[in-house]
Amino acid sequence: MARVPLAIQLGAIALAGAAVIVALPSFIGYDTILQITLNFAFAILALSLGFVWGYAGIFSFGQAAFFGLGGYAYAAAAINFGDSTPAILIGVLLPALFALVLGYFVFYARLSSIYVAVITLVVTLILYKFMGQTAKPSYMIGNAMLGGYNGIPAIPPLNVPGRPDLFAGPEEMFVIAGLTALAVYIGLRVLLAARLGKIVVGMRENELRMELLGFDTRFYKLVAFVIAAAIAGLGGVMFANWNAFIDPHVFGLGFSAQPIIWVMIGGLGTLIGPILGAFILSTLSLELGTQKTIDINLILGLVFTVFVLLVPQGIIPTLRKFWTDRRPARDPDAGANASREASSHG
Amino acid sequence: MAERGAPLLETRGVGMRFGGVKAVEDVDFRLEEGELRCLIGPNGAGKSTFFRCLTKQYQPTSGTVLLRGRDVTRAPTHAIARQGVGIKTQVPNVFDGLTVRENLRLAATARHRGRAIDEACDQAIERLSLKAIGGHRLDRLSHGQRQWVELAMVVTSRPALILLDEPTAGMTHAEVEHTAALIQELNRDSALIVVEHDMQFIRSIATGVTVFHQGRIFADGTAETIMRDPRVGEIYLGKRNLLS
Ligand SMILES: Nc1ncnc2c1ncn2[C@@H]1O[C@H](COP(=O)(O)OP(=O)(O)OP(=O)(O)O)[C@@H](O)[C@H]1O
Ligand SMILES: [Mg+2]
Repeated sequence: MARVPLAIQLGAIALAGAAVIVALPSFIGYDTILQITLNFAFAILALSLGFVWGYAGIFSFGQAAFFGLGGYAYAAAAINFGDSTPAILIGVLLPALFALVLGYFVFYARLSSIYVAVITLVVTLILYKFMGQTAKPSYMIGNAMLGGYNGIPAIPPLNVPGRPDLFAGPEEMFVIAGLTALAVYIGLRVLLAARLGKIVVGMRENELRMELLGFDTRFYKLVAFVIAAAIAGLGGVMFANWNAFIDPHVFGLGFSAQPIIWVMIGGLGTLIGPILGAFILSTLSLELGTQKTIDINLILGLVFTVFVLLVPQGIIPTLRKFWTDRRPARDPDAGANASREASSHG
Repeated sequence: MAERGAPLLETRGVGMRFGGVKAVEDVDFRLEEGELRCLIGPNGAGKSTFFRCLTKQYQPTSGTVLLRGRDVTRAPTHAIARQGVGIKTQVPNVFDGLTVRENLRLAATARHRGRAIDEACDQAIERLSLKAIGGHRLDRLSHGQRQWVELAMVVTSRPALILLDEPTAGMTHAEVEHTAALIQELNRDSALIVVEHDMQFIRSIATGVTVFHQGRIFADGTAETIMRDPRVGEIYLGKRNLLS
């Protein structure tokens, strides 16, 4: 790959991406706008896992839970405040705080990675049970009814700060969700190029060496975990806006498995991969959902299995390898293993 | 440094047991600032385990570890590193997917910021003569080169104490000689403890020797006296003395 300075590279991506996102709603139908808006929310969730798993090497089963917490926190706050601006902040901060507490116990106890996976999964399922039994009126947060398995309907949409009467319609929501996903992508690219990113990748590559060099890996794992939770929460805020509704299925086993599948299909250790995985699978499941002949989970499971067997590295790393292998071998070091290169091209 | 100050490293009664296995037992060890000491002993004598106790990869099950008089028995691994102890482990711990320079940059990031990171890298590359391979990925280097890179990573933080666990294992004769020269160069700034089996090598860096046997300190002395000690020859390979 040509050595374009990162700032220029990201600047170009930001400009081109923003232009496409802003222009697109005029060219596509209403249904497509809604579908892609949902994809953007899912892409943010996928990015959060792509970062924490693919770069920090922490396999978190709980990203969907942080996403759900973000959605619920936004819903409850927006209903109470009648203004979305502080609600967005709460939708990001609550999951981050939750991750801080959970991560503290998990990482400072030096639990092995398999326990981290199991504990994040268990916490997710506990949240599912808990949210499911909140139908009683005693589970009111101010004016917001949590509503048990029926969820929270009529969540107020995003509005211009201080002007609840000026709120986002589907087209604006498309642009906001798209720009947010783009900003998260660029933010993560910058983060990975910075000190913290190098440390986090070093930890993934050789945790013992990092400790022997003097890095407190517990601390850096916690930081990565909290950042990823905040990002997932932001995705949840977009999701709660998407159809003004959220229910406990975001804490369910099936939903929690989805980001993992997106990341694996798109490519672990990349950022574009998870976005792509989210777009492909989320679109596919919607398309399949409109027909009633075959169970959609059966097909998705089949797609996933075939994928893992045929393209085990995921789409993006496979494409990159194909690309570098085709170029004349000027540099013998290029090519092999490009996917796990710790340099932070996303 | 200070004549009357506490030693750089001191252990009192340090022990490490795994269930019934006493890998290290009741070790009283002293190392002065700037000293170069070799640690020898047959396989399984507890040399690596002792290093792991010093760097808290293992929490010693008994005893006390002092660095410059400060009790660090309960300090975690990263804190030991921050107090100026660097280690090259027996099996190299490096970042295989990164280039030599990237490895060193990451290592230097632990203790430096901004420009100082590059300066520390350049210095380490210079001191260990790694310039020619700066852009190579670690998984493409020879075993000997990997050891030198690991050593260079340790050097970026200018540690007061460097622990080297079998730094010449698997090296060619020429590489061993180069490593001996490197160790003496490093000894100008740091104290070192070197685990080594090769007597020729130990003599070439002319230093004090501590012998481990079955987890305990078995003997202590100069390279010459240790090599002529028939008891040491016996535990070591069953030879009458280490020069034969
Ligand atoms: N994690 C562990 N669990 C159980 N026993 C261990 C562990 N680590 C080391 N030991 C035991 O402790 C003893 C000392 O091992 P150690 O690796 O420290 O020896 P060494 O002197 O470094 O040997 P070598 O020259 O082969 O490297 C051995 O009997 C070993 O089996
Ligand atoms: Mg050993």
